[in-house]
Amino acid sequence: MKTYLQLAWRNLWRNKRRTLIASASIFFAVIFALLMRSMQEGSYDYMVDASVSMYTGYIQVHAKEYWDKRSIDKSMELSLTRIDKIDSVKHVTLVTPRLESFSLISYGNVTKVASIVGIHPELENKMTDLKNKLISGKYLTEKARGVMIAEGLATLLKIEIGDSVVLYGQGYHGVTAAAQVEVEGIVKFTLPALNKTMVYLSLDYSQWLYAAPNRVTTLSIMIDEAKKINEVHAAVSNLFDEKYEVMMWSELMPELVQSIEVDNAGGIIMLGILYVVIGFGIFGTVMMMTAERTREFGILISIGMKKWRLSYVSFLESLFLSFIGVLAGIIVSIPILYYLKQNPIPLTGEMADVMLKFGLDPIIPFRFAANIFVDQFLTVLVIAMISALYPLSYIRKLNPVKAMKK
Amino acid sequence: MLLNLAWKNIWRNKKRSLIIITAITLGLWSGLFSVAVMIGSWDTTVNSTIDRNLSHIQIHTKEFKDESLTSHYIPDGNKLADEISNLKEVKDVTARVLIEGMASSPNSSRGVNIIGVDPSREKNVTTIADYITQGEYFNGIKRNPILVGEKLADKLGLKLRSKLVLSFQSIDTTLTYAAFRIVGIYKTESSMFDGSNVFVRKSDLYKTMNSDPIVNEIAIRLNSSEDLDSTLTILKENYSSLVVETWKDLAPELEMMYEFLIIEMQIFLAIIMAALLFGITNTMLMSVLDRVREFGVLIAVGMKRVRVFFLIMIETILLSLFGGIIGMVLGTFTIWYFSDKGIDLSLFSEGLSAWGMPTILYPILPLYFYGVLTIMIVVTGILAAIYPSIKTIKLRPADAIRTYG
Repeated sequence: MKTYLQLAWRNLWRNKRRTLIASASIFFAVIFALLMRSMQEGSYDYMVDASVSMYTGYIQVHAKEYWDKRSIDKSMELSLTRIDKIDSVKHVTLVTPRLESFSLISYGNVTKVASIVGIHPELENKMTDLKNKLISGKYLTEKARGVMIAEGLATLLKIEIGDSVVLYGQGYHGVTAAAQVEVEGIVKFTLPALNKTMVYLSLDYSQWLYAAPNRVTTLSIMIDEAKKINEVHAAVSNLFDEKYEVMMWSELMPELVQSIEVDNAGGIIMLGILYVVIGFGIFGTVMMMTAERTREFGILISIGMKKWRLSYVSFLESLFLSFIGVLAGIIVSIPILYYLKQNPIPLTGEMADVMLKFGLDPIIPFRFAANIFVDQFLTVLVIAMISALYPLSYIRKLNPVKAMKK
Repeated sequence: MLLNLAWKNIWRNKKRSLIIITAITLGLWSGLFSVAVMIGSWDTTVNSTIDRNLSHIQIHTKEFKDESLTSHYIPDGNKLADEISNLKEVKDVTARVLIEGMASSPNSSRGVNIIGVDPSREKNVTTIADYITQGEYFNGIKRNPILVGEKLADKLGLKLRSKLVLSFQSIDTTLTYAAFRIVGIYKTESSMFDGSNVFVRKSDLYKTMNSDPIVNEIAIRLNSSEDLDSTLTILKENYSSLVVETWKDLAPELEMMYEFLIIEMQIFLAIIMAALLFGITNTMLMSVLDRVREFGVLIAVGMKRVRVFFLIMIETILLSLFGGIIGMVLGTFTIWYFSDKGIDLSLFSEGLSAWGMPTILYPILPLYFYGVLTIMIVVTGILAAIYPSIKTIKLRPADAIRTYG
């Protein structure tokens, strides 16, 4: 065994240039495949992260059926001990309670439909960075009796700080929830869907307004590592019985999951095309290398080398070759991808403006994770191994007499 | 002469050349086709958005654009709509009343856009009538019929013939409630649209609000989308006090999607080309190393090094172009075949529908992509040729002649 390995290794370095050319083609294949995949998965991570920290959070807890019905009647009792328990689950960084509902909001003779959210101001800020979105007035306090309103909605209603708006909606168990409240702050969201609908109250005040004392509709949970979501979900689910629903972001935003899936399907097809191109490149190189050595093979066989031994050695050679290429590709990619992960490629010009308008950072993000490397490592290796089968059949069919005359 | 020589050289080692040509062909063929599929899917999305509710051109008042209030109606809107429908480019026109309101069921309530239409005219402009999955298009319920999307019906827990209460601000700014009964449930490609739009007869709205027949939006469908710009100019001139917009202005995200797509596709093609580049370089390098002796002889008998350099260059470019052209021809043919027949994507239909994408798509490729591709191929060929060509001209003929490959 050792002899074969040694022989294969030495053969490889007999013609350095040939070996380098062949492993270079594998090397670049690995880099391209890695770049493409990392860019794609990076954009999904970014989308998920941006959407999650924009509003929903990674995990939400509601009373059963709330998510389907969105009715304040499906709210739940807020229990501090429960929140503490969730907080102590590993990887959970934040739990914030909300009382969410839809109501009409009027000022002067303009009425709009708004999404009214009662929040814990400090926790909400930690989660969605709400304070930074404040453009005028002041941020809500825990006992505030005013509203904080999205800038787009404020413009539609033509209101300014200090004006009083009328909220009119349905409270707990069908109670009419109506009140005149003062506008204390204006927040600006980049996403039009939020900017035209969001109205924030303090949790305290909203519970009073909707006649739902000590009740919330939602507990929104943030975690520190996106990939630990299943673990955290299981742990949090354990804390609640069947009267509650514990949902992950993928259930809360099925559209996001589906659009990622669609895009991913397209991405995998493109990756497949890249593999075909790469595969032919590698195969071509292996083929030429084999053809070059026809004479050598012929001589070896005619002086008594068994064909299977020869095949074995050349298979080992291809294996070494693939390993060198793949490993070198991965070693070089690690710093590149790591750099790109830390410093995403910035977009400029019109494109950047459009992305900003939709609330996205104008960047091309990358993912740096072990799974990408492992996947590409295995795929390219498999392609290289398939190409390595060529010399086997070539040697099997070799006619030593003819081969020596080459 | 060089060209001839290069072409013959390519075919001296058929197997080797064929492998790299196949790689180029396959790469371009599949690359082209997938680009066409992506662009085709965008195009189909645009068409279905136009058909569903946007139509080609819409007219609003400026105040309505800013504040979306029903009280900002188009003066003499119905008369204006009739005027426009007489234009020869126009297929038909629908004049709508738009109200933002809340839809409430006994279970829950949701913000919705209430769209008041004239059912017979609306049918000529948009295809909403074709999307009805249960019930009928404004037929079967006499008093206050309403069409709702499947998603909204689900969220509110409503069925066909269920009652639903719309509350909204009437034109005189008072809050108004009215009960409607579901006459039909529709499902379009876009679940977002289905969740937030309800259709009612505008005559019912006038009665509820006690108002004159007002109009907030005039949606215009043209006979052909080619008349878009010319009609836009005419309308803009005639109704300069109003805001006249095409679907491009109304749905800017579609334009953004397109820009993104084009960038993404170009990156994709560039990566494929780069992968091909290394394949081609490897092949040519092997080929050059095989022929060291031959080049030595050529130079020794007096062939200029520059000519040898160009010989390799031309060989490489010919090789790339040959594969490239086959790939493009095959790609064009495949695109042409499927652009007629369509590709059924019902497998992914759930995900596509969230984005308002239809499930059968027709690939298309803008003409200029062929130009971009040809340039990309030639550039790839040249880049791939540089290293092997330089290797050749650095040969020392005396040594080269004695090299036995």
